[in-house]
Amino acid sequence: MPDFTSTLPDTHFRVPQRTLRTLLESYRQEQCTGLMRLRYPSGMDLVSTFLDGTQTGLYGCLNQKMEVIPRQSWTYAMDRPDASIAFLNLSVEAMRLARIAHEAPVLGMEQSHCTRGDLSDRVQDWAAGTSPTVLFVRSESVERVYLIAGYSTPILEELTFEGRESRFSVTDSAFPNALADEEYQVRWFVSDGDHELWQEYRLRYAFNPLVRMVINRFSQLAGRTLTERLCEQLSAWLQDQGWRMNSTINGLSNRHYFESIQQARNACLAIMRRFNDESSQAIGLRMAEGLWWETLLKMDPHCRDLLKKYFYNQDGLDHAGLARRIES
Amino acid sequence: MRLGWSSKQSSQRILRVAGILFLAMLLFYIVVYWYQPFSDFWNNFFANVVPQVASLIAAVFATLIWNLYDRQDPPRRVWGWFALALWMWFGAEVAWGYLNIVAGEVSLGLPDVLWITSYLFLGLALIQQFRILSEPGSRVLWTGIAIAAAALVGLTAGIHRMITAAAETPPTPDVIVNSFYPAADLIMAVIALWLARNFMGGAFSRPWIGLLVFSFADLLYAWLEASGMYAWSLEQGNLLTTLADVAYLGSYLVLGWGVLYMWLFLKYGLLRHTDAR
Repeated sequence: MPDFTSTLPDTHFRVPQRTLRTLLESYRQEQCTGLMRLRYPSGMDLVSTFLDGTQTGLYGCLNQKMEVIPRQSWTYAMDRPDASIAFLNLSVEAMRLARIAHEAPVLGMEQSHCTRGDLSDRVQDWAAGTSPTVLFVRSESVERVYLIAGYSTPILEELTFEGRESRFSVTDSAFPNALADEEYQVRWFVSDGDHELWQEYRLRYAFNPLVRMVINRFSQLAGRTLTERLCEQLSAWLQDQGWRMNSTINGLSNRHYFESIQQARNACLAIMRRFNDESSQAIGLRMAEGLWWETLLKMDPHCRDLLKKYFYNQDGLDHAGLARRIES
Repeated sequence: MRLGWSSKQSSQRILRVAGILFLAMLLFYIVVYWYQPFSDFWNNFFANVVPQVASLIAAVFATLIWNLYDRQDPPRRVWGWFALALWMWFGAEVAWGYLNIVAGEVSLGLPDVLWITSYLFLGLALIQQFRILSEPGSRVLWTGIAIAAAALVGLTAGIHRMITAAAETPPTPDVIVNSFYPAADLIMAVIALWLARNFMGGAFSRPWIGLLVFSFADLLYAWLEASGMYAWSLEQGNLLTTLADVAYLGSYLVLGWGVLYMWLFLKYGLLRHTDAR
């Protein structure tokens, strides 16, 4: 993938190692979340990611190609003088997007100049396809990055850079219609949907509607007041777990940065169990478990298969009843 | 008044007080029924008033549940009809009790009109609950209603036939109505069992368990009444009558308990235990 931070203007120029260490320490203390780009005279740039002041990744960038640098080599890789530094504050959601854009494997790449109409047609094709795509759209002053998961996933994530400003948003496959009618430089990278970053992404966008529909169904059964209380209980528990998630009557807001698909899956399973613990006080465990399954059957086949794969075919799931339902 | 109790403490204490009260009512009723410690009038008065109070408790808490739900909440429709049915029961108990105290023998009349109407409202409540739970299409819904109606008519006719054949009496409105009650109770019991099973282990199952218990107790009472065994047992001072009447009151109390539990859950349930009320 290309380095989409390459247009960021530097704020510190050719700093010695001591200054870099001081900067890193200040990011740590201020619990910064975002990207730091280090540009070296040799042409080999580095991009480092920070989450709440903790360094979470380091990428080497040469000739517009990014590579993950293993954690054990971070100190060595960064211990060089004369780095010009740029820092970009990002939200956690934007950090998740950036991680996929940096790390997801590339199976194929193309680029062209497109009008808004051409782009619109292509986006529809990618969105309906089965392979995920990372799309870079550049106009005169603005660079945009889109994650298109495929399988008609209705939500697309968008990260927009303009100078030192960045903005994360969620959009849909009709986003080109909202762009100005001009010509765009477009690069798209077909990625591997089986990679765990995409798996985590797809799980997130399948699990959130599942939770929303289950909460909605609980509300039908138990009424709005109890549903609001259930969501409050769930939110308090999510915060106790240290996850940046929130539960409301409209569903689950997930702003957490999971390191791995396993962590994300375990969190989702824990949420399901917690929901069952709370809701079963009202509607009983049998019905609480049934809600998930009943709702799962209402989802589109791709989401259903994905969620079944993670939650229902695993021995680790403590809902034996659910497993039996699948078998039957 | 704020007592500084947590939601859980409030709920538990109210349930405890209600449990003691309900037990006292049942014991008092048994004492009055069996030992008849007061004059005839007062014995009869208390024997009538206690079930009325029990039915009033169930009706009041069902109304409070209805009131706790938002206007848009689907369960509000269930509890609206259910509360109406329970108020009908209360009205029927009061009317029957009044006629019993004033006239002694209570023949077919206003209490039966109220009881039979209450089954209509109960039916509407159960249909609403079925719609929420199973989300049936209109075809499935109407098929279910038709099956239940056919079962009601068939059971009523069957019981009526058995009674008239056993007693060798001509079919009278009394016998038809007395045949209707066990039939309706049986169908109600089946639906209540299905609902209780659906919500098994949750607070929402409690009212339906109450209704299930009530259905069986009423079924026993209605069957004894319809078969003439109740009148015979009353003359003999038999245990059977006591059992039926005590079970009838007990089932009202179980229903009241279930409805109270549900109301407490809606009021205090799923709150953090530290939330003071």
